[in-house]
Amino acid sequence: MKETRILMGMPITVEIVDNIVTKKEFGKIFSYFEAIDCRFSTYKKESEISLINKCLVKEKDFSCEMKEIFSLAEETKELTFGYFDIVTPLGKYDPSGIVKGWAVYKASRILEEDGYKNFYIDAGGDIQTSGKNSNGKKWKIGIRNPFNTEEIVKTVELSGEGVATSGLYIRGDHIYNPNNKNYSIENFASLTVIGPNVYEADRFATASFAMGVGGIDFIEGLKEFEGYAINNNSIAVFTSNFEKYA
Amino acid sequence: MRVFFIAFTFIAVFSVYPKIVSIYSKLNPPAQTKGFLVVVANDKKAYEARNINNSTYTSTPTATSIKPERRQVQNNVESSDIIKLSNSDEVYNAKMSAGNASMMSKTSDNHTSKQLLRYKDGEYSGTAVNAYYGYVQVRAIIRNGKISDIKFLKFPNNNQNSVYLSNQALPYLKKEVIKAQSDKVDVISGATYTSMAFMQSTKMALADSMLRN
Repeated sequence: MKETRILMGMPITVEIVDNIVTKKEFGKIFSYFEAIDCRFSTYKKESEISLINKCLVKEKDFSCEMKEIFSLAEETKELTFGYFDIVTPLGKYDPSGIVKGWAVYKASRILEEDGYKNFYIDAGGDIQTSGKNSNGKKWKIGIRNPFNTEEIVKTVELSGEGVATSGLYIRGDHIYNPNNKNYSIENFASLTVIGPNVYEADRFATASFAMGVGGIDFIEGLKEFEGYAINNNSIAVFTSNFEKYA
Repeated sequence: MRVFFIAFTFIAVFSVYPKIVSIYSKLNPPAQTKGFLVVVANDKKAYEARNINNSTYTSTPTATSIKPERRQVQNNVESSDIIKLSNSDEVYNAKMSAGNASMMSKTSDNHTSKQLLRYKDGEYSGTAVNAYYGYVQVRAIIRNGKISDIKFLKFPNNNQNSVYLSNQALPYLKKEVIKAQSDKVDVISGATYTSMAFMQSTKMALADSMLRN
């Protein structure tokens, strides 16, 4: 069973192939994403993050989820030498670079707790896989051609791992270099990272993308992570063990 | 690790030395403002070398040193001619290679592609480049218009950041030309809307490079 809804400004798809699946479970997962959006959306005036940015909520009054995200963001900033930073050039907090992957991962844990083993959750290209697909095989993930969105240029097979792709978006460069906020980065067209789960893949995809073309070296140096980067000449550069997923 | 890196790099550099092909750009700034940089490229066989202008920027070993260097390249696109040393005598333009800590000149292919010129004699130090697992800095010695020696001034060694990295983190990256796949997939990961932003950006970069010429 599979369902897609537009939430958090992007299509979110959940597919569950376990026999025990119920329609209700999808409602539960999508409600979870709605709740996350209400709390973390910088586009919603009344969201907790918006209130924090207006200095209307003190740090001690942050919700548990907000505290968790701030703490994870701080940890990620250290792990990526400052390349991951939820503080924007305007001095506001924008945790969207970490919330998406984190929310997908949390949603996948909800499904696991409810007894589901074979599913995926995809939020705008950030994907958590679990178990096998309806054919009993690993989930087959396509990597989109950044220059022709109709086209897939690589496939990987995952079962339990997470994958996320970073790139430049038409609505504005939401990835910037926190070590020099006024300087734009010469970069890959897209950088796909496979990690132990989608939260890990997403945060390191975002940070390593901000590193420019050195980002793939960063992924190469991380244990349990593989990366596939496409440069502006349609040449893909990928980490030494990436092909174990191909 | 350190010994391995030096040995490995020297063997690789010298094994391709006879096949080095040099390219010079139209504009050739004074020798003392030029640097020369060799960084580990995408696989065990290929190495890349390039000239960079390091006259105004002195790098410091911090995670941010790559940015000023990158800006230098952009501001001095005409002098950032790039050669690639490989086992197949191929001369790539800058944009053909990726996956290392060096930045690519957006406009190098406009004037370097087929022009074979000699290097100016002298010794040139490259900027230290952060490869995330450590810094690489070299000095190239040019005699009779050819690279006669490449010395390493800095190479990866232990630092506090490396605790996060695996200890075998030399980038043996691989590469391929992307091709459309016809496989049926369950789900797609991609940077949505990238293409239009990319094309816009490329157009601007090309326009800029034409103005500079």
